[in-house]
Amino acid sequence: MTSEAEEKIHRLWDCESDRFSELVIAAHLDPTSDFVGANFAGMSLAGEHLDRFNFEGADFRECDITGTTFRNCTLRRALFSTRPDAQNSPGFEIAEPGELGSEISNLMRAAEEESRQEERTAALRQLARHISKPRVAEFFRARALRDDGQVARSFAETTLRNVSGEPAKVAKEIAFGRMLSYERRYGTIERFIRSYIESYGDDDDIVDRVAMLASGRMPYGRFLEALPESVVATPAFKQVLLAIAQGSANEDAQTAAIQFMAGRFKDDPQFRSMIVRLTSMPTLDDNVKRVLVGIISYDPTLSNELRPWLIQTIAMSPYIRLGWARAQLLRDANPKLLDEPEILSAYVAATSDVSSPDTRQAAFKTLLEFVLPAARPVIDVRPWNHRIWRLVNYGHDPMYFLDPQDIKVLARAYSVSERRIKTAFRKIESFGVPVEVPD
Amino acid sequence: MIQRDEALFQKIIAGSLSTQPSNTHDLAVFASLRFSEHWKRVAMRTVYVSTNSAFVTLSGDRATFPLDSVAFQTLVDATIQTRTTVEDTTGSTVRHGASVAAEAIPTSRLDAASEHSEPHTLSTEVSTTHYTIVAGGDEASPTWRIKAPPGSSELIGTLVQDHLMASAVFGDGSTRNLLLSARIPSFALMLRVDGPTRNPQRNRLGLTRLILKRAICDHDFNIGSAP
Repeated sequence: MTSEAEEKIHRLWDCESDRFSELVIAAHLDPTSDFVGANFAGMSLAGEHLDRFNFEGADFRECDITGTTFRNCTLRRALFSTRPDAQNSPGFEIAEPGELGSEISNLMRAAEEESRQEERTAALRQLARHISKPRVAEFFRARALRDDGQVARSFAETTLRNVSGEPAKVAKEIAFGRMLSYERRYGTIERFIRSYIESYGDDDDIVDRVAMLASGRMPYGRFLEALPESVVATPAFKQVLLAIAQGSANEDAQTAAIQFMAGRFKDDPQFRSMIVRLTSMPTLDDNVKRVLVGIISYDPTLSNELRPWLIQTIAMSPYIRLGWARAQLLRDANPKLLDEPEILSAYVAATSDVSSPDTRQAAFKTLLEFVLPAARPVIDVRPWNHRIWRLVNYGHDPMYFLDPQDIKVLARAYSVSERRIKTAFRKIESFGVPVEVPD
Repeated sequence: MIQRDEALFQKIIAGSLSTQPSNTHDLAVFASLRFSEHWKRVAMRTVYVSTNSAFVTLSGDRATFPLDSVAFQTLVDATIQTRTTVEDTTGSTVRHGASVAAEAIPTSRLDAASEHSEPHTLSTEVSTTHYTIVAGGDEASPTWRIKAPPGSSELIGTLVQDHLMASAVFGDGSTRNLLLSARIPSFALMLRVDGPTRNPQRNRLGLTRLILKRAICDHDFNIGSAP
């Protein structure tokens, strides 16, 4: 059976000529829809008289268009290495038709001219008036994120004081984007805050607080708590926090950002995926670990839904290298948390984590201590690490076998009767952990 | 208008999905994936179509796939291994091996540092481990990127055969239907034409590529379902 595409290809190769317009007809291609966003690299349209083709977003940069006419064609956002002959192509459309388009192009060129500082600033000021145009916003966005140039700063100074509404929103986004690049490059929160001040200008309160932060008189956590709602509520601020929380050379800033987000953005999907990423990092810092454990164990404002989710995320973190950190987190968390069914099921799931023996042991140990509420190990439970259970591949899931010797060791370790240990394991089995307990 | 072409896609990527009960989750999901080079005789020539990369996604009705159960996890995309050979004066060789993940990970390991004396010659070989299949995506729809290994221009053969891909957990009211879909990114399409070169044919080649991209690239095609 021949598919429709194969049929078209057949017709294409049956055609005697290699001329584009004849091939389009031979293969029954639709000029109004089949060439949107097409790449014409290596092809030749030389001398063709094309009429009513839709070439929106098409790429002609490596295509021979010598003498081609584009009559009544849509060329919006099309890319050319040489401009099509306008005389021969009446009616073609480009992104910024007319005089305004060329004025913006001239301003952009002037704004890029490094040697003439004054003309450059003037061009930027004029350009900022057209910020609502996607092309201009993109120009500023790209330059704001680029290394040190003064463009973004001049732009921020000029625009933020002179415009309001939607353009100001774009401007703020750009300013925040620039902060992000500062943060990534220098790893210090001060740089981005200073940059923030440069962009946001005249708020004396913020300036004072930044001075205190920079001189070490105010901790990052308090600084973030004290930021006005107008700043905290902006989407760009959340992005800055996410960037710092995910990894910063400054650990205080990182832990403050995580804590702040756990309070303010706890139900935000981006915060959650940030935590997932964080728990997947092999170099999880001790401070960050403490913050996560703190949030899980002690934060009274944490919702009943988020707490189990956090534990589950940590318990299910997929990387072997994280084994130690995850085991530590599971150990540090209060066993009483297992009263919550969701958390209990996270621990049960962690007992079958084939990637990390540490995690299995930590989860199993916490489960045992949960079902033996009064018991605390009275001697070092070193055998946990060596022989209490053997992991076998039972189908694709792990399975735990205990022998009478194991029961003895555990009873001695926890100073309880062997019968209690067996009962405890049957209880654990009832949670869904595959354990085989000897009679 | 060129329509998406499932029949042609399945000549390049074919797959199947099966399930088994799992002890820890609801179902264990197994998949097979087979890649081929499809060819077609046209006007005394042969057009060959294949791909050098693809994305395969597993999804299900109200299903999640716990990330730790997803197969082909790897910490980084490639591992660089270096092996230094030192030949001492007695002619015997002592080797030092080290493998360093491509990302700067402080816990990178250094194996088998051995003693040696009077180094005579020293040579270092660098090799990289390429992972043909790498997992990505999220719990709702884990995705695997499959990429031809270096030195091979296209994906050919049965790369996965009844392999445990993930475990599924179903939410309330789920129909327990699972779907395996695949996508060829447009940059990965491989096209070659054999045969006599009678006339210049660059427009024909360009349009053949365009038709194929529209028909089979950047669309998700269903290649397997269960139950």
